[in-house]
Amino acid sequence: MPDPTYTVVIADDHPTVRSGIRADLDAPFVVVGEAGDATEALRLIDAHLPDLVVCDLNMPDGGGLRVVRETAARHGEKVRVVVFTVSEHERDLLDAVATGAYGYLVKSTPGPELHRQLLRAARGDPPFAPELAALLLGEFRRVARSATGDNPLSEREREVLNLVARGYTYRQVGKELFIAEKTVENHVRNILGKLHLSRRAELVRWAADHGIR
Amino acid sequence: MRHRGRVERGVLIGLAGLRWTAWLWLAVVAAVNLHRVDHPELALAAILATGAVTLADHLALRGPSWERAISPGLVALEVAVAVAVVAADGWVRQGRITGQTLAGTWPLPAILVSAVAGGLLWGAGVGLILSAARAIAAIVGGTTAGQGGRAALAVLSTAVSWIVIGAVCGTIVRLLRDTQDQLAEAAVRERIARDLHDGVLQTLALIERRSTSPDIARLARDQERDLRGYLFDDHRQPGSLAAQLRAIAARLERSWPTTTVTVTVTEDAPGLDPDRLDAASGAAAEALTNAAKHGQARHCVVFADVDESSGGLFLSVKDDGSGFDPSTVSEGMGMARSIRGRIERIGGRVTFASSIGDGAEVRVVIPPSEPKRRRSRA
Repeated sequence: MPDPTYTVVIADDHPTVRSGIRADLDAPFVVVGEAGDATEALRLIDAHLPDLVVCDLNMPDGGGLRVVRETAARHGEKVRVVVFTVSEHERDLLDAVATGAYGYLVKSTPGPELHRQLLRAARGDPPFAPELAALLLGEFRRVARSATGDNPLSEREREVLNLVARGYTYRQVGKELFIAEKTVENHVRNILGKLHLSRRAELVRWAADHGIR
Repeated sequence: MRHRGRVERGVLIGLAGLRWTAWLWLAVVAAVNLHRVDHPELALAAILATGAVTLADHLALRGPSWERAISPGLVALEVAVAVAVVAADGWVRQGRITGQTLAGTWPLPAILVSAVAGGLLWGAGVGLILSAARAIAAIVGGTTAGQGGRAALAVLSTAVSWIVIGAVCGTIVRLLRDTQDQLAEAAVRERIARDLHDGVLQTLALIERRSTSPDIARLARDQERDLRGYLFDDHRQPGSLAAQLRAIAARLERSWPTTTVTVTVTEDAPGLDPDRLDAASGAAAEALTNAAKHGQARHCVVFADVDESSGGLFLSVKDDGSGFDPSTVSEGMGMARSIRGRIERIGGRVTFASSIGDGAEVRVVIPPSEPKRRRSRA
């Protein structure tokens, strides 16, 4: 049985970064397009419906956030956008994940590791680095402290998030909590889903507070 | 062109409210006294004219093109009507008959809006023009015998207050506007700086990823870490736990080129006094060294967060190295004893978790510095 191939669109405004990523993505990846701005990226995504989009956050024309948002709106789960960024501390990153980014990787990720993580993403396992888990821990605590009061995460989901933030692999999280690795993956997906919901509710609240529509 | 913004708009909205209040007062007083004054038709005209201007100013402020509220035409119209109404009191003689001048406080917004539109000189100038109109009204209207001095004094005091109000308002608006411009400039500068730094971060990350020389890759990683710490953590104190842990991680990567370290500190991680900070960073450094040296770890994660049950610090150092059997080595190992010593001295707790072939984790909990001053998380 032949191994499946995965099509990829690379979006980054630095040509050297694009060619660097392209060099790391040999089989089973097929790079079907490169874009230097958000509009071009969205055009390529519409044209090719790739399995994966590797996307920078800081780009002309609305940046990676726009690519994430519009791709999620147009193609849903069919096209997975992985944010590839230099700045894991920015609120932008949280917004990107909240608007539907599939996962995120830092730009200093070495070539073989990038290949491995993207392969996992292509097979349905979101790249979810400890930095992002730590950021989410803080974010959900903030939600819990704000008007709504309750932490949107279940006890179990908080444990999972905490272990991922500490650098546990999914397998190790499963072992620690006596659950299957697949269950851990489900928890992670649910956590991301709850982030989408809470961020959307917050955006709506914010917009209402500021007299927008 | 100067940038006009929220400051002006806010002031103008306030003025619109003041204008309506003043107009209501003017209209009621004039209407009640219509039968007593000398020229009721003039008083009626004054009510209508001021009402029209009040409405026009109000409408001009609505919508995105609110700046027409301070267009020269509209300001001139308001000033002209104000001058006319103030002067008209000389013929209507409402002021003399009832003690309430026809114009009341309605001219005040005309002075203030001129100050907003044109600054100190316009404000003071319009104050002066209105004072002249007030003087004309007093002269035309005449005075009761023996009251001349008093009337002159009233005109003078009104004149002084109108001119001063115009000048002060013009100055304040100018100051606010300057501040607003400076803030806008600072925001632009900051954005440019961020964009520039982003380019540098991108380049460093690329060098790290692509360089075939481990030394150059390491140098790029060091620089990236420093720059990122400066860019994204500058709200933290220098010498904070985050800064210390980052420095320790950089040192370890320099000594053990095959090991990389990720450091994350959540925003809820509590601040530490110097003793606790030393103990925490010392423990982290030892755990990392041990992971690299004895565990041959490729990657380590240092994670610091609030310990939710005590409000103190939770610190974990996790590696993907060869691991050990905690039941046999935990007490005997020099690293374990040394870390335990550091942490227990300041009242903290240490646990080791590991299994052979599956990495290790050192977990440290440090109680809050002063239990009473635990940070509130309402």
